[in-house]
Amino acid sequence: MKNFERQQSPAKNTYGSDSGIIDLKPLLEECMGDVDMLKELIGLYKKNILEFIGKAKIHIANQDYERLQFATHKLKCSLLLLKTEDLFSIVEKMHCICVDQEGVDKLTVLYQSFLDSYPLIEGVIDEQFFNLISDE
Amino acid sequence: MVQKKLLLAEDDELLASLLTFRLEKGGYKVCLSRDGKAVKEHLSREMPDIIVSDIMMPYFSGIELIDFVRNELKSNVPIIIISSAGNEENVLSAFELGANDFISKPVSPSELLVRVARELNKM
Repeated sequence: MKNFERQQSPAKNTYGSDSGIIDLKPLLEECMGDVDMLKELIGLYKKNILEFIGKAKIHIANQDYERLQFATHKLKCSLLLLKTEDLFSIVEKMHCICVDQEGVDKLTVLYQSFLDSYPLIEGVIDEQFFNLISDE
Repeated sequence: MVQKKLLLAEDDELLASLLTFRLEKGGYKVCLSRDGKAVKEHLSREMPDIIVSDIMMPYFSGIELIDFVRNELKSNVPIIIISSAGNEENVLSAFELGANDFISKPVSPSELLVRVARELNKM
């Protein structure tokens, strides 16, 4: 984690690789255009994140690296499916710290960064979904 | 035409819902198990035509699942493993124990459908 100082700044308010915003269209295509299915997946995404927020808080407080590592590992797939890359980047760093057992201070900073970033990203997802169903 | 039975062992509800949706649309009868215990119970009752399993599951890992199917149940049912990047050691172990294929997370449902069909066509 040589670049940790640079990496630990809160996630910037841009999402996705090219467009600068989250694009739900690829996931809608995977849902074969079924908006209800997409809505269900977004709900499960939010549920997974809320569960992670709760579990991570406890595991960081207990310095339980093993359980936090498992929780970060499990969340990464959801973050990738919705292409929320900034959140993925934070969780990936948390995962690496757990593997190396580098210390709770770094985890606390990253966890706070996740908490700060998520409401913005959730708002973008909701807006994207609204735009998608408006286009239907 | 008889529907092929597919056992999906995946504890991530989001991924499991997406894969179940697409596999069912693809014509498979999907049985979803969310942890290793449920998988073991299901397999003791009924053997599916193909198994798709995450490597990291609570109680009973995908690696233990392959070992159980191949060495205790003595079944050659095709097994496709779902793995994350950076989990190469586990993937190697899975192949050594008799996994037929693996697919990386985040899983593309379209790619999984192709791989499932390919494994079933080999039979």
